[in-house]
Amino acid sequence: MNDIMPLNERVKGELFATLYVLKKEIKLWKRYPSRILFMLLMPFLSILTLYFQGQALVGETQSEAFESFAGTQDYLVFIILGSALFIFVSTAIWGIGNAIRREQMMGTLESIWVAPVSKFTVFMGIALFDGLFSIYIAFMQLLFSSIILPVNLMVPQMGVVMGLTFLLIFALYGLGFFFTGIVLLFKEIEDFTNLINQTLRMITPVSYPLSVLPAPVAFLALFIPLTYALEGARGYLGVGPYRSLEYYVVILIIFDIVMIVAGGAIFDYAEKRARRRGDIATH
Amino acid sequence: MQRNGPEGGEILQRTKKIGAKEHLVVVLSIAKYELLISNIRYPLRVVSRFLGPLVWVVPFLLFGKAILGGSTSETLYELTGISHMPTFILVGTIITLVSFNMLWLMAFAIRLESFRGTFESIYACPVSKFDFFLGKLVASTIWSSFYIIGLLVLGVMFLDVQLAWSRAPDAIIIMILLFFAMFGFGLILAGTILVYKESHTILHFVDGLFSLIVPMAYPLEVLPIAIQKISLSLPMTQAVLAARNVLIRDESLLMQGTSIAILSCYIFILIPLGYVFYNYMERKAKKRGVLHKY
Repeated sequence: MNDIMPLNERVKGELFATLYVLKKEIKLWKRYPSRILFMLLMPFLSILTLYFQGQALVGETQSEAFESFAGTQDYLVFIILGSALFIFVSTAIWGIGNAIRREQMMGTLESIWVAPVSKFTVFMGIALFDGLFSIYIAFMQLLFSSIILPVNLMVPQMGVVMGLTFLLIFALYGLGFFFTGIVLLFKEIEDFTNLINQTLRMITPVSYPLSVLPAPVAFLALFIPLTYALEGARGYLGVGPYRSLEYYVVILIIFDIVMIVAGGAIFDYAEKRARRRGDIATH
Repeated sequence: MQRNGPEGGEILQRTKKIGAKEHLVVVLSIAKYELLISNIRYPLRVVSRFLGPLVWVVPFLLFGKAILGGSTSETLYELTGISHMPTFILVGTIITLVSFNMLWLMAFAIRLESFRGTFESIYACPVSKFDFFLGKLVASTIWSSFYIIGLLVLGVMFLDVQLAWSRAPDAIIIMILLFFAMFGFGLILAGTILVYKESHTILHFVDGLFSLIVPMAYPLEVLPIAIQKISLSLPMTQAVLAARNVLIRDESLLMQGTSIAILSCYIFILIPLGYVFYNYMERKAKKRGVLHKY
């Protein structure tokens, strides 16, 4: 039916669908308010855990040894920025990546699958919600950290950091599509998602610089866009080494294109395979 | 003649009382179901279960390495008498990981069945819910044994972790006490989730909160006094403290009187309390009609 609609009508329809998906996601989160509190507190708890570990090991928030690895003594600012940007990775993997499984669990997958809109429209709605939600959580985390811990991250340079984060988000959407495909193929993926989430946190410079990792692991991190977004954001704020803003912008745009194309292709393949095998609705 | 209960429903004929052997069969069947069927059906879960502990522990070690530039810390020595950071962290994280694993599998037991579509069948089975929970806990303990062995091998081979191996039986007794102490805790969480749903949120939050206040990667002394007091009342904290004393400081189990007393309190007080609480929440869920809901 969509094929015989005029293009502008079709685009309008898809945009409406995106907004309705966004509305649905907001409604769902309102239905479970404890989630908002959880998302607000969880990243902060992980910062505090590392803060206390730092206090136990070096007794302050500066470390000379850390400077030899990261180019800055201030490990606390380093981990707060890492944690704030990692929120975007987590929400992309858990949000878009697990969207299908969530709808399946709620018994609404079939209704969404047969709706006369593109699947990517549905994912864009979820992605839009995830992006807005992540911005809110990251902002609150930086605010809490600036109030409670001995750091000040509410500075004007954060505008540029937000720009880099914006570029990172598109690459993460590609990662989300990839995960959606994996969910279609392997079903029960919650533990696996958690593992990937933790692994990404472990092998990227979220809480420590790449130089403390074994060389082969650090090499893997070079293929993850978060590595460049973190290096660019920290460097721009004067926390660690830095090349130039243009370098990070170009790298992130390349990641955006490659990951969205690759993620979309994997999703397409997984959907076709699941349809052939009659797996779409099975648990 | 049909007899009616206090809420008007028909009182069903009681099933025959079963003995300890039958209870054991139920517990082991549930454990087998949880270990084999639910994992083999989803092979990715097996990968996650084996690698999960590794990616959980390693970031603490790497962060420690990044701020120390090595593996020994004078500050840690002043606070605890232990200077080798990986040994300190590994013992703490193993005990905490095991207790979280027990808590997760027990508390999430009902919700998981609900998602799998098997809740009604299990609920209608003429077996005690507590056998069901105990079966989940046994499964979690078997998984945890793999974690413990794997992480210890990693520690000894790559991190130069040195433990008082002659104290291993003492550490096993601490783990057994922790196993039963977590049963009461798990019953309370399972009851809460039965009524309020949203198990992921509650469990992730509890997990995150305990990760912060249990002295897993740092000693209690760095926490604010009020949090130290709360932490000391938790079974995981007592198990971590006792395990460190036994395995790192080579102290005997008999010297861990406070920890054993607190863990025993959890066993003798929290299990009956958890039992009563779970039954109360189950009745509440039935009254509200939310037992089977998502």
